[in-house]
Amino acid sequence: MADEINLSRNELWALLVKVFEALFGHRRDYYDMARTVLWLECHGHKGVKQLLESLPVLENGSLPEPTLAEISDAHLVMDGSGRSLLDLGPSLSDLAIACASENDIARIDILNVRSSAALMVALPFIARQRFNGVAVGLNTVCVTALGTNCPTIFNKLSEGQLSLICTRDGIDVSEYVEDERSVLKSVEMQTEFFSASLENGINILTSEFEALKDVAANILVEATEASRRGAGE
Amino acid sequence: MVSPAIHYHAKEKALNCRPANVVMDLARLGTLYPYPLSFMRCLVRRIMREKWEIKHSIFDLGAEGHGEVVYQISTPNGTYSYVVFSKFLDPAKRSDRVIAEDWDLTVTLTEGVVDADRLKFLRENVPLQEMGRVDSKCIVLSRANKSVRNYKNVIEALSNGRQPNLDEMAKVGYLYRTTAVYGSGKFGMADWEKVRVKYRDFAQPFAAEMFSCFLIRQFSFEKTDWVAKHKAPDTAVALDDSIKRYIGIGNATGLGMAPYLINHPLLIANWIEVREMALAEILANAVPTEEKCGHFECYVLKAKQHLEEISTDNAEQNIINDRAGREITKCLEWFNLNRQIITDWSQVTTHAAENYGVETQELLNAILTELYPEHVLDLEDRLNVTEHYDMVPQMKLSELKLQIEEHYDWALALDFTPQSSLGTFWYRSAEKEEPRLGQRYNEPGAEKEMMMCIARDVQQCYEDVEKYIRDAGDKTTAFFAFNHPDHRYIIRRIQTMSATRYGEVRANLLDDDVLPIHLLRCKLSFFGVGKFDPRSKMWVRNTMFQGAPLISDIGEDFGDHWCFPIRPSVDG
Repeated sequence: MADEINLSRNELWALLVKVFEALFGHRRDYYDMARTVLWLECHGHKGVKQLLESLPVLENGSLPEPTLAEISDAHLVMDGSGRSLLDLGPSLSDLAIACASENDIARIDILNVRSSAALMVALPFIARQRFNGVAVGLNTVCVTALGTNCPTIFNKLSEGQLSLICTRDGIDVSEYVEDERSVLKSVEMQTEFFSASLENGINILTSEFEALKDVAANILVEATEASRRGAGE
Repeated sequence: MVSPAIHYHAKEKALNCRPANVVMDLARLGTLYPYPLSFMRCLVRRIMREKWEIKHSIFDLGAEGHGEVVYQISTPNGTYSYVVFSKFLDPAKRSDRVIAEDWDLTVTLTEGVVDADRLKFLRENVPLQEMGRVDSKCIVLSRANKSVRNYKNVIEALSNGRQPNLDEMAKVGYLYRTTAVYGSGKFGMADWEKVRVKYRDFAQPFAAEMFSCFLIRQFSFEKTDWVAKHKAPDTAVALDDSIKRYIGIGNATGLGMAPYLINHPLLIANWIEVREMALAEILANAVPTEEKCGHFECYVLKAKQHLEEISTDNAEQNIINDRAGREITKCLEWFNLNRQIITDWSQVTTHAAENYGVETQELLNAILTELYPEHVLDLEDRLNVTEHYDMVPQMKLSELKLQIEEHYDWALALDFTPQSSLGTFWYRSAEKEEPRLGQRYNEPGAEKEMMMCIARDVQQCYEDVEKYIRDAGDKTTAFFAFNHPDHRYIIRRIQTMSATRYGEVRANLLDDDVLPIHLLRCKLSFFGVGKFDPRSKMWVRNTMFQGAPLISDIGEDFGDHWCFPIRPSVDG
């Protein structure tokens, strides 16, 4: 389609790294933020769209840092201070794994955040670290077993709090899901999407591409005669 | 508790590899020579072993050599096409810089057979390079410019029925030089992961990029013969095959390569480890038989001549080459005097370490790897590594602190107090995102600097870890990173690289006196590039595939001995 552009995964990744570097400088792990969006996009979860929708929040430099309350060794509550989970997601998976390593299970309840769909990206990392994980979102519940790269996604029983659960044991999701057979997105569907992105690249809207490039351009330094000398002849 | 790491077999673990503080020193890395596992060497062995069939499917050039050529490549695993667009270039537009916008020729390597529709698509995009879009069937996109002087001289000679003057040829060593070679998904091309899985012929590091350069070299011969023949049909002769083998493909490499080394530390550490394992294996187990000692002498003499034939205007490089030539000659004299008592090669490397400069030491190491392919080539499959820099969030801060002290002691030892230690910053220019160096205290843009000083970031992280432990106790890294998100990346990196044998390149890349050219030569040596001709501390001209076989040699007997290329005896 004329209003779409086809990008390779690496090309999109490189652009996203620049976007997050432009947004946060070296104050954040911009590589892992980019990985979050790329994972969403390559698995059919519209990561780029979510990123662009979150831009006003991500660009808001006046938001306070998130805070953490320790209810117990295995139960934390994070107040995201209105920040996006595209920003905070990697730290959440770190905390969940660290607590579960010591207690066999960890639960983090998440308050006051945007881009809640990004919570599911914590799961592949949790699975790689040999844990099971559940990401309880606003409308969905994502479940992953150790060793798998994608979660199974269910419709959530009722709207409610965001939580990330990480455990060594199996997980009973009946608390959150009306019918465990009613899968919204299967592992196979996402894996197929991922394979297609590798084979054929990823289509995004040209307008989205241009918007990302505009943000990324903030890492560039204006060219001058002096700067040209800084690159050789 | 360690992050995922490279796992060694017991035998490999027992190898007495050189320590990281010797090997990873930037100045030493800047003296590395190509060796049998350099990527273009691996590629050529594969082409020759598997007898790749490379022929024209289209050869449509005018008398001046402008037009289109398509090579069809058949390998045991698949079919590819290499498409060349050759045109007249306004001399005023000829530039090696990445910011150039027009070139003598542009090329792509693409999957399958090219039909008319596909050729039309490529014709509309490949000549535009960065300004065009290709697709996921394309594997490499590249361009090259003529060496105007050499090209003209060769055409002149051939059209007059004689071979070119080799003294002149030797000064440059190529007819065309590439100014950028893109792969790994750039501009819509196939991702590396796709290349690795689907295009198995190019599944080794940079194999497709090297192949593209190999075919530009081939095209440069064909075009030269073609133009000479059309200029003087009655008198022209073809370029002699031995001269063709001596001619390589030039390359200009600038700062863009340096950030790659810093951003892919696992990859670099792995390449270096493989090289060191090859050397350690030889030093431990290779026997200096009479035959091998003879070969050693031949390689030393060849390397010496090779060094003498390098032509560069760079005074410092000339001094380095002269010294290496003299020292390796002295080493050979010492070797011949002591031949009867030399029982293993570590006697030679120890003698070199005690008596000669680093350049000569690394030249000798490269020669040793040439002597014993039986100890080296098995490592070829180890050059690939999957890069994951995963956080180990459950690691206690005390353990992280210990890791830094053990594996980044060199970084902690650097003094960042003097202004000069932070005098340089690296940034991307608005001009095609070209990486550039700025002077921090005199030029604008430092607030947008690239993350190039791992040592400084490690120091800052270490200081904050110490403070956090004092204030909050020995918590896990996850809690620390939550409260210090600015350190999360460097923590992942520390945890990952601490599990490798060689870790990071050891340097302060922000110092006033930083020499990026060492980084460039390090990476280029792994490509297999030789004849370094530094044009400044920021960019270098060099030659690829000089001495390599020709396409017409495929199927013939092949000895993998084209290292240290020297002038052939044929001359005009």
